Amino acid sequence: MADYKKAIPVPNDLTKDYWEGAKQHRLVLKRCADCGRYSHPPLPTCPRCQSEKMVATPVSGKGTLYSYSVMRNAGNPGFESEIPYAVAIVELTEQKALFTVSNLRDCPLDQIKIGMPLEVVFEDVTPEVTLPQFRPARKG
Amino acid sequence: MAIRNPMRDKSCIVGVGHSGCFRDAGVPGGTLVARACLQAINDAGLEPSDVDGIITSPMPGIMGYDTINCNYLVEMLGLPGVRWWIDHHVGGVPGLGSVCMAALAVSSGLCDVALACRLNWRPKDKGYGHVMSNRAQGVDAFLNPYGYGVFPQKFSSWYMRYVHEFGVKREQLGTYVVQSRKNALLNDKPIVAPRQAITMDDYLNARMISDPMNLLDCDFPCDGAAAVIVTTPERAKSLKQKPVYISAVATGQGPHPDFVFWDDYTVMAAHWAAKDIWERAGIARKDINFQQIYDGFAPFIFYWMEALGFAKRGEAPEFVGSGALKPDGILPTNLNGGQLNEGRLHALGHTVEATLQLQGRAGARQLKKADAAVVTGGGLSVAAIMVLHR
Repeated sequence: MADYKKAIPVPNDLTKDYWEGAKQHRLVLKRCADCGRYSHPPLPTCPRCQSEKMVATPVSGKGTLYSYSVMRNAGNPGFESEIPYAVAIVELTEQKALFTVSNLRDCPLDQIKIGMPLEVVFEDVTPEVTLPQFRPARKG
Repeated sequence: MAIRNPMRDKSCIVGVGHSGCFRDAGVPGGTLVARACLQAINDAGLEPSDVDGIITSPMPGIMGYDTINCNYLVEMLGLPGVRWWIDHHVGGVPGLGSVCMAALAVSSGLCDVALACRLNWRPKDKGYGHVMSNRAQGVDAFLNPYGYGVFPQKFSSWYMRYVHEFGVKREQLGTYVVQSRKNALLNDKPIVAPRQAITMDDYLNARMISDPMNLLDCDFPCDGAAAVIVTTPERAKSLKQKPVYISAVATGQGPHPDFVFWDDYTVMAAHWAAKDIWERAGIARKDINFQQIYDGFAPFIFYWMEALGFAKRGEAPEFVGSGALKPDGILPTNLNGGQLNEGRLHALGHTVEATLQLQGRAGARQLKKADAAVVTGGGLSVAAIMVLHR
């Protein structure tokens, strides 16, 4: 997409399940088939039990805001017109300190609170690429 | 297990060189690093032919200049006797890591006169550290598409969690930032920061870069170079300057290559590096007279104070806010103005200042009592520490 100026993820052997999942609007992480630990970003070997059986596993897409920052400076291609924008460190409910990064959707900057419940939404940014994003969790 | 440190006091710093730091030096990076290295060799009372070890962290070729690595320096400086060299990423801390490696090489006998140097070169055709590609690979694929590819941004979200957990008041960090500029005004080398005091109001009103870090919390990318000569205590006896002994060095790294995915944003690589540093050094924390602490971003000061044990976990903001780090406080810190003001030499500028203080050569900045010091580099994803005494 010539008019999409932001960085595009380039999948590799380890991450293709994640990005394929995103295209289907599912959040899919690598999980150890032996000890059950999730690893994100994906690793080929489980860092807890060193098993090589890392299996692509869909997760709930629910989490809480562990930390964040509001970006007010340039440096990322395509984001110039969005300044100021928030980046969230989301702790997924499946596991302590299982973090993923996204922007914050549907949340004014002055209403961001560490600990707030979040849920995943999917944005098809090009015909080939979908980005998982997070927004404040809705009831129900 | 008993602490083992056979390299304690088996090497010492005997010469320093510093090009000064500039927004735009107007000369190639190679020129700056050559100036700093030759100055350090001369300061020690040595000749280039005496240097038999060289350690640096290569600076990538930028703006058409070649990569400055050991090989480049050996040719440019005319070092015929080099038998030990390392282009390294030790501790990932390009400046202080080189001094740590020099101490290791000299104390183990790999070489007798080691030159450790660091060049920083600011690209003039783009923002320093900006994301240049819109194809995000590897871990970057999970970060850059969200406009989260620049180092200060990532550290800001880290520090946000620290602020959340420990309730930092902005004035507490401001106390350090305002004082560091005051210290810098006594620095007789060219520095990057404006030679102008700042007030707490200036600090509190500075433009936000990425919340909660503002412009004055960030150091200056610069053109500059610094170098030190490390040799044996025996060799030092016949040299020009008083030796500054290296008691201990240490490096540390965290649990994941990208700190965004660490499980605790209040503990840095600094904590791993500092784990048993005082036992290794054989110097008690209370006997440290001053410190040169890595301050590429001002909040690093908090983490380092906790890592080194000068403050309990979560209590560094109160400690720093009390004025403890002022030159007349209990732990004078960054007497050259730190990296925040002098310029980004990745703690090699810190090393030069610690050496000058311990040798009694720091001019208007000289502390009355300067017997032992700690120098730190980096701190976040990678860290290095060095304990020095006279």
